[in-house]
Amino acid sequence: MNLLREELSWITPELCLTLFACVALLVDLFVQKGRESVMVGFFSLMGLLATAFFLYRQYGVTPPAQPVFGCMVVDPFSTLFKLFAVGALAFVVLFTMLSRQTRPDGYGEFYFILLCAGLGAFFLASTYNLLLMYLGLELLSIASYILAGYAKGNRRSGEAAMKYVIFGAVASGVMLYGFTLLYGMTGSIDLTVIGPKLRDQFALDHGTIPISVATGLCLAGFAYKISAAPFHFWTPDVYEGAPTPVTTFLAVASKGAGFAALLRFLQAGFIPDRTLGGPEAMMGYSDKLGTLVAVLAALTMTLGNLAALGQTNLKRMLAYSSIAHAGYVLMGVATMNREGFSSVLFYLVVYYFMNLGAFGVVMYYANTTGDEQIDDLKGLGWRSPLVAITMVAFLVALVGLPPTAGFIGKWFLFTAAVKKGFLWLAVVAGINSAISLFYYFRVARAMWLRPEEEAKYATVHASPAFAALLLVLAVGTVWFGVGFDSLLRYCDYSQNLLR
Amino acid sequence: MELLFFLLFAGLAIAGAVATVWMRYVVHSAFALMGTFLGVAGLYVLLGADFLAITQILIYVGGILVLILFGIMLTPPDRTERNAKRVIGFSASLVAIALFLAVQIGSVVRWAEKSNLEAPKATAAPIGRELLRPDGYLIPFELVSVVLLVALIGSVFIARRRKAVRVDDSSTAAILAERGTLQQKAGA
Repeated sequence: MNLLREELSWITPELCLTLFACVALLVDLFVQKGRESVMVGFFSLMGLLATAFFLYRQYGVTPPAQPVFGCMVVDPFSTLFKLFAVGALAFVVLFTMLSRQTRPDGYGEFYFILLCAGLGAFFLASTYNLLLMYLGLELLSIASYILAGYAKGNRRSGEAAMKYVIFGAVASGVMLYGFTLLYGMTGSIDLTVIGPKLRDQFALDHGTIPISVATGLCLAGFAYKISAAPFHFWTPDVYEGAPTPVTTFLAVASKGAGFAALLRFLQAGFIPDRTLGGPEAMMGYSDKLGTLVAVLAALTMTLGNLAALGQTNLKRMLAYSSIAHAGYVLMGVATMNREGFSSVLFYLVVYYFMNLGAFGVVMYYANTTGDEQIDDLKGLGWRSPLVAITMVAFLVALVGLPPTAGFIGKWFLFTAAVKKGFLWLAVVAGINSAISLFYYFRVARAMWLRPEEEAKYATVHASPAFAALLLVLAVGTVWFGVGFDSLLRYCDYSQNLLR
Repeated sequence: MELLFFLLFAGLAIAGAVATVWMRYVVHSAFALMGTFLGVAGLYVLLGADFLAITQILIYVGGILVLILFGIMLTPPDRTERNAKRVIGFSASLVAIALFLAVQIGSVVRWAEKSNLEAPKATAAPIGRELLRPDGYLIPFELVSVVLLVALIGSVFIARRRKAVRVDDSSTAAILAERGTLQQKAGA
């Protein structure tokens, strides 16, 4: 009984989130009409706050030696990603409360599904068990499909949801096929068992084709979740069609959780322990896998950046930009070593700030004007300087220029890649960053370099709360570019405890 | 005897799958799919997984297939589209077969053997105990219920008839009205 209680205490964040998701669903029934958004949103925020509190209490505590309940891993790595997801959810909830774009009749359902999507991200980030990983992925995906189609009556939103479902179903199927092959070869669904068993297989030297096929199929599933080429086709349509708060969630929390699962998958199954010394074949295979990921990274960032150049819709442009950023992050994954993975964590945190901010500005602007076109931003800089200045901070960070965190994040990714010997990849990424300057700059130009008279709207009505949120994100974006020590240390710490 | 039944069920499953891809009419495909489901259920029986076999029949044949048939019944037929999909289905199955052959023939696979697997818990009672054992599958089992709840609520929300006021129109109208006043202010 005590043992059970102790195990339960390790999963309090998950229990808390589930509880408040249900509370949000029920509160909706008792709140007077017209006040649902605020009230239900308030309860959701309370839940997120409580979850963050429980997560914070787990930080720094020695993680349990055995997986909790036989399948959940509670370590700093998962805690980092859970905090990441809770923070993103909090911003998405706040955005929704302040947004007019999502005005469905079911607020309770909206917040319930949103929090459950977060729960999916929690499980995805904290398990070596393939079954639980798949369930977490599926919970996150199913919730995302519904959220993408939440603006009922809006054709684009419906189209987004439909495309997302079809792509998602195929990707899940492909990934499951990969999982079954791994199970067939090793007889286990636990990655910590699969890793050593695969090592035995390599030692027998039967060739790597079966393992390659299995890994390739699994990677396809992960690539879909993080929208890496060639599985990125759904991204622009879904990001554009979904209500903007949902897009923000997909771009930040969903992608982050996908990367968390990918890192765990590779770390546990395919990176030989250099100190123990794996068989030669496994070393070679690990490097080959790294090269494959590197090629995917180059492909992803190039496709994303080139496609972003021609976009006129701000959300669609940001969608392609998020594909490109998945490419940059994959660069760190391709190194297949601790330093690279640590730089991935760092960049994801930075990515989280700048993308939340950029999508926040889009929403802020679309709220009052109903427009999402880049050209319509003309003169915004003169009319609403505060918002425009925060947007510039986010854009500079997205390009990766100092003094923002985007620069530091890219710096770590580049050094990790070069140290591993992927000089060509670093060069490709450099060229890509230069290309990205063009389309990010177009937004800044529209805001600032057009005379005030061309402005389409007199002023963008600033709700002070929304402006404050954007300011917080902008300060974070710049702050981590200067005082990045503590964050870097935390990322390293999280990474080193990964098995 | 076992081999005979294996061939029977495996043949049924494969023939059903091929027919599903090749049939001209979607309804025929759906019925062919039943062959696959039953064949797979038979294979489960041969593997000693009786509970799984029963669930396969109950859920796939009794639930999902009926759902598919309802879906077909409620959508207008479109034959031109079907022709296009046939090619896709064919090439997709070719890719799947190629992958499988690559795994089988490309090298000698050391599939996990019976001896180093856990003994099959073939009846309903052990499976139920395993699902609720804390170190077993308790967490995945509970998580599945959350997944199902989300899917249930989401599908009800999407299928629910909209209320009299069209949500999007009203917000667009509000935005347009506001835009008008804004421009007036700018003009003044």
